[in-house]
Amino acid sequence: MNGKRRISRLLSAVLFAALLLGGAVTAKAESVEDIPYTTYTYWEGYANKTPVKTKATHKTAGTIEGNLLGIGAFNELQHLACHDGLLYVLDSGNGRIVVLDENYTVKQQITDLTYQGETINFTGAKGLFADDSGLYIADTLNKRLLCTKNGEIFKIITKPEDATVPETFDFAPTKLVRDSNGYIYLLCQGSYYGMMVFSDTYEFFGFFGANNVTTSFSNAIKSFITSLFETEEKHNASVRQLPFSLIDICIDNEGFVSGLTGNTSGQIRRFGLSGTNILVKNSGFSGSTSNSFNFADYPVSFTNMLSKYRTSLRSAFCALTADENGYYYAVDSTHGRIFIYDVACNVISVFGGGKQKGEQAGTFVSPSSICVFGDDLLVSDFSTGKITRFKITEYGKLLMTADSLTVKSKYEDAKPYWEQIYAADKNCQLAYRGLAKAALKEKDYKAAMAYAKTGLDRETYALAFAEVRDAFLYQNFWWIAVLAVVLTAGLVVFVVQSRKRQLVLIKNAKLRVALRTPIHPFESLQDIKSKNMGSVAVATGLLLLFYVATVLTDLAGGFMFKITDLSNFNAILPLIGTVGLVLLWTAANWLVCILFEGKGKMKEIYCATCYSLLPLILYNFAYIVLSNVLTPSSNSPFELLGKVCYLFTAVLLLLSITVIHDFSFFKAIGTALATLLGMAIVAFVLFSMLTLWQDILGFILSVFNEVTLR
Amino acid sequence: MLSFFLIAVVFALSLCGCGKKADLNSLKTYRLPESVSNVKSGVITENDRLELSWDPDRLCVLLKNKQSGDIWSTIPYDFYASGETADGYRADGICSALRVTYLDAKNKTENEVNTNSNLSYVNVQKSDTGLRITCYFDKVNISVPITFILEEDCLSVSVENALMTEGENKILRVSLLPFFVSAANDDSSYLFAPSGSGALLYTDDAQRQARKYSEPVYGRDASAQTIYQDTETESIRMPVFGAKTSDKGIFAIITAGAETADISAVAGDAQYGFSGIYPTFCMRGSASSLVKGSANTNNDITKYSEDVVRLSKCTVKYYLLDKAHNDYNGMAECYRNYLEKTDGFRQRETSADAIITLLGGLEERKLFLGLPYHTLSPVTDFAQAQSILSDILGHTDAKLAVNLKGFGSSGLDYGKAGGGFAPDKAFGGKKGLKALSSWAQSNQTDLFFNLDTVFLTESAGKFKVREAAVSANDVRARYCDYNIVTREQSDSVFAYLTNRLTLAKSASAVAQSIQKIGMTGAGLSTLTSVAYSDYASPDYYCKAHMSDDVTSILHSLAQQGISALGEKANSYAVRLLDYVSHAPTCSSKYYALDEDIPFYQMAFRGYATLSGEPINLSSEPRIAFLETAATGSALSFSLCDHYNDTVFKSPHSAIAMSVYADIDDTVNGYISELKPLLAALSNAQLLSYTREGELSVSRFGNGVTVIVNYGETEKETELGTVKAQRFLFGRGA
Repeated sequence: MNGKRRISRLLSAVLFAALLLGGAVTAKAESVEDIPYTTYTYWEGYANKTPVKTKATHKTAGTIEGNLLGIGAFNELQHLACHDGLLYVLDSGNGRIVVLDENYTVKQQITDLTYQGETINFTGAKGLFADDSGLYIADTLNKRLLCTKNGEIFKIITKPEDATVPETFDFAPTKLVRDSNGYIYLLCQGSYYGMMVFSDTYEFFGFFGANNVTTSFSNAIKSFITSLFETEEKHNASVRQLPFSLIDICIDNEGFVSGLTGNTSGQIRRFGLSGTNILVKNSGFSGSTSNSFNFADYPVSFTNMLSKYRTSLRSAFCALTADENGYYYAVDSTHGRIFIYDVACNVISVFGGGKQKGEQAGTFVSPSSICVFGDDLLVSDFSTGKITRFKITEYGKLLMTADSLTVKSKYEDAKPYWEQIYAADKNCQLAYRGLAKAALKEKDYKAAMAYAKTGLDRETYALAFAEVRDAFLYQNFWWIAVLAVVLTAGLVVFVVQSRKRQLVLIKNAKLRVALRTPIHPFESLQDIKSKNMGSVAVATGLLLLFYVATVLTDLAGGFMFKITDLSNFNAILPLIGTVGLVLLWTAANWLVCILFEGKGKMKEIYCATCYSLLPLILYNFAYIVLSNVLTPSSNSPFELLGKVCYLFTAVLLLLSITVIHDFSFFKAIGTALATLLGMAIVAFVLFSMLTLWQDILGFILSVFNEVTLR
Repeated sequence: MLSFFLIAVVFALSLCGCGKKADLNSLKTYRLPESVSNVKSGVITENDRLELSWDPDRLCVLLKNKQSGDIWSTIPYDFYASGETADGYRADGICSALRVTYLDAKNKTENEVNTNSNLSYVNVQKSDTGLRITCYFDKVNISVPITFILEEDCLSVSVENALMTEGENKILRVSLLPFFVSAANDDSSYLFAPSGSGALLYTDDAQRQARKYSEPVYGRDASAQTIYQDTETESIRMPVFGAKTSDKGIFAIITAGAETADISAVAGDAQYGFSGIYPTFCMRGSASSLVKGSANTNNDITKYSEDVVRLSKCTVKYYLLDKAHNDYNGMAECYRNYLEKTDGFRQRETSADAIITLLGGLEERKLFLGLPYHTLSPVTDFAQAQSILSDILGHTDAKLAVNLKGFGSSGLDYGKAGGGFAPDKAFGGKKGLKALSSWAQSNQTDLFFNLDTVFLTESAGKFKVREAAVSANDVRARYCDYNIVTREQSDSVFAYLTNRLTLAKSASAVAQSIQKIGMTGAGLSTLTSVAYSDYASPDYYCKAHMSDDVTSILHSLAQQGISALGEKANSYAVRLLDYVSHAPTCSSKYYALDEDIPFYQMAFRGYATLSGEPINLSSEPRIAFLETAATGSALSFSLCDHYNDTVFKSPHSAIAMSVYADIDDTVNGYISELKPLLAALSNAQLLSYTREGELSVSRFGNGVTVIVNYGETEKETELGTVKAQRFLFGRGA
């Protein structure tokens, strides 16, 4: 009977833990669109962006296939380009360019071109570009750029002889664009030098828009240590970390050259005159370049469950285009998905799919190029030889109209569109943000705050909040001022009187010692050590207060300063980060200091450590109050205060080691570092044990399941 | 004494059970026949309309329409009649009446034999009504008998499961008459596949490569683990298929064992010269699963069930269409005739202008002192539901059917079976529901309380998690949702499946629940749309007998006066349903499928009130509305009272698109616009549907024609000028 009860208790505990840690079970998502793929967007604002299903912005409107056009199947579709109502299809395997009109009827097939009487074949070409000046073909296989007009080649560009072009440079053009000044930007296969720029007279100008190698401090140290021990041969044989090369380029609506990289962040780039990325992604309260923003799915890498070795699969963009409204369309070749971004790097939608299977409409085996042609969005598939036509839906039109007006700061004009979006789909984060901005513009600050809070738009919220707060202060200035004066005067009188009469406000001497620690640390710590004035109860109370204050910073802290994802929040985790850490510090410090002949007792260390937390406790409570009153524009002193409090706590901890263990200050620093090391070792051991127990528990549960369920 | 008696009874019963089991779910051991017989070439049997012939030289069965003279044969007739011969790939394709996939005992791989290349002996027996042909594949020790029975208006062809024999190699699947329903590869023929609402595969081969299509009837087995799913598909809801050539047509209905079948087609294969569509019956279940191996590797292991599905035979009936009806409209008519004659379908008077799905609530994660807990968060309670419905009635005076979904103990999420079979207090409890119900009765509104009896995560009454359905690899079958981005199974979002024995007996639980809460209508969204296996018993292998179980439940409910509403209902359920919401309106959109047709609506309109997907959830509501008008379906809306900020993180994105206060004008506008059409159509059947560019023309049984203009400009039609994105109806020419 007892055994049964024990098992039921154990099960209850497991269930309770599952309740705390597990998510809700939810039913199958509904699909109502007549398309086989899911359309989704991302909500931003939390630590990680969250995918959210949305209404379809684009639907398939059929495919264009060579054989259905009566010209034979496309073979290795490499690139699409459009100009002046004509679509140019680079059917590379067949060595031809098929020109289609707006109705997708064949206007022309360009197979062989002539140059100075010689017939030139371009089978194996990978890119092309069309504008008024002609048609340009990146003839990859033959390592040349063909400049043509009316079927005649008027210029062939080969590898330039220039000091800046290394001898080993492989001039194999893959993609190109030509800007309004006639400058040609050429991308070569595998080149990490950036784009090659040719003038309107086809002279080589130099390289442009090269990617940088980024490294971390830890990587640098690792490399340094490795270099100390490796031989010259090994060093020469090691793989160099090279910058990612550009994959595709296009000209955007403002004439900027934009490119696509294979990085895990900053994949879409808009190049300024200096060749740096000028695409801005608003993060926090200041715009910054989008170099650190992940344009692909989050997380970038996935475990491929279909692979035998559970290999990691990484989102990888392969094609980019931009439309006249400034929207970027990028194709992820890994999953066959199309991402649409506005110039502010807001994701409009993600759709498509297939993941190298592509059996259904709007899905792909290996997408190769993307192009906006009239009202259609076209995506070519290298393997299947199909060009899929996507048409924007009513919802998509509304969304992109509203968004483009908002991007242009025409918030009031955008408002009616956002209202329609809001009515149609309340899962659209951009609608909340757009409505918040419109309300702010209309000086409806409370509405702006409400929309901004739901849309996780801290910037707009802060602006609206500042207006509401200032208005409140303006309206209530007199009584607030009077109240402040009365309170200040009262406080001064109270302090003066209490000193004069030598009033003891806190009767409990041990509590008094604890609270005096930040002001008179040596005195308090000496009292703990020599007069046994440390109190475990008081210390524990302070520790719990620290835990509560830490939890409250997440739950009650100001929205403008920190957005806590409450759907993932669990107060158990801060418990480990506060109480657990203090206990671990206490234990580790006691163990370490015994080795260093420290004189402190466990109780004394515990009390001193908890008392040292007072600055942080005060800071956390101050943060809770002030973060709800201040706006982030006045953030700097606030952040500084936080740093000071953390530093102060660290100093108090060092002093406590000095006094409690009777160490010199430098020895205290040494033992503090040793304590941190000890903590890491204990944490590692605990983690290992936890993993082991998890495995054992998993084994027991699977045996239990096998026995009961078979 | 009594206990001894009971033991004896139990023992005797178990012996009886064993005997029955041995008859059907274990195949007899393969043995070469002592002698084989054949039947001379010529007519085997005939009736007023049809003639069945046999050609022993080419192993071909021929079916002739005596009125039109059209002939269909197991080898495409044009090829057969030309006297041409074929070999290799082409012959294996078009000259095989049977393909058998088996599990090779030695190397454990799936192999295939066919009657063209691998047949060792054939034993043909003639009867008064037809033929029995037993095909012996001696090399692999397998024999499969097929019977051809000429019925009054069709040819019934069956695979005799119970009479199949096998040796060490195990029969897995049998493809029946792959090119009986076929058409020559040309520009005027097509195959009809029932994917979703229905689709056509054109048979041209001059410009396109061969297209292949295959989907399971009644959707994928929900008990089977799917490792990866990137896209969504529309399940096959009707066990039918057909072919049309320039001058003749054929239509097939799987009448037995449909749940175990896949419908496959190959169109435009230039090597074959013909395109065909056919069923493949599953004889043994299988389950693939990724097993974590050493060094963290994935091992894809497929386990096959030891026994075969307990099913006496799998039958397909082939109907020849006369010249006037040799298209998909004729196929729909043929199917309706079959449903009325055989399945007892009757036209119903009940109809509604709109079927509204009211969303109750969802499980929400909340915090208490920073500690998370889950609670039910309503987005509509019963009082709010009444307010929404009153408003719609006030504006439109429409007849409504309302499905209350997610009003049980776990809301829209998986939880107890049937949501605990009672409304949750959070929505107003039984009292609130009774009030709503009595209001509905006095306001021409049919109210249904939705009960999910298929998926469960918690035990309730007879629905026990530990007794959940078992998958083919002997573990509790789990249905998992997918991560929207990685398309991986979400381990935290799953449900078990009610075991099939409990499901079959769930009518009383549903009826009691509905009667207890004082209602007369049950919403059975999952029961009517999901088919799954339970490998606890061979009766339920390969989804078998799902139709029997569901129809018996619905029949039992009907007998107790409980009306039922289904969602995306499979054909077997439609007969006993008053309403079908979320009826399929498109196919799975495979590249092989060239054109979608509203065959589902053509088949079932008039037997039950149909509605498509909720219009307010569509990204193109106007187009969805026009499609509704074209098929004469009722409008469908998904509605709730308010939005909850946490919805965006839940899979219930519909809530975000369904807040009535924001879309009331749209809802009422569409209902008012469609109401006159639905009044004119009443319960008439949809006889024909054609779509030419941006115009669709639908003709109904009562003479009403509906013309819909999907385009951006107005169009001249037989009924007059149809404005852009509008429709016209009237008595057409």
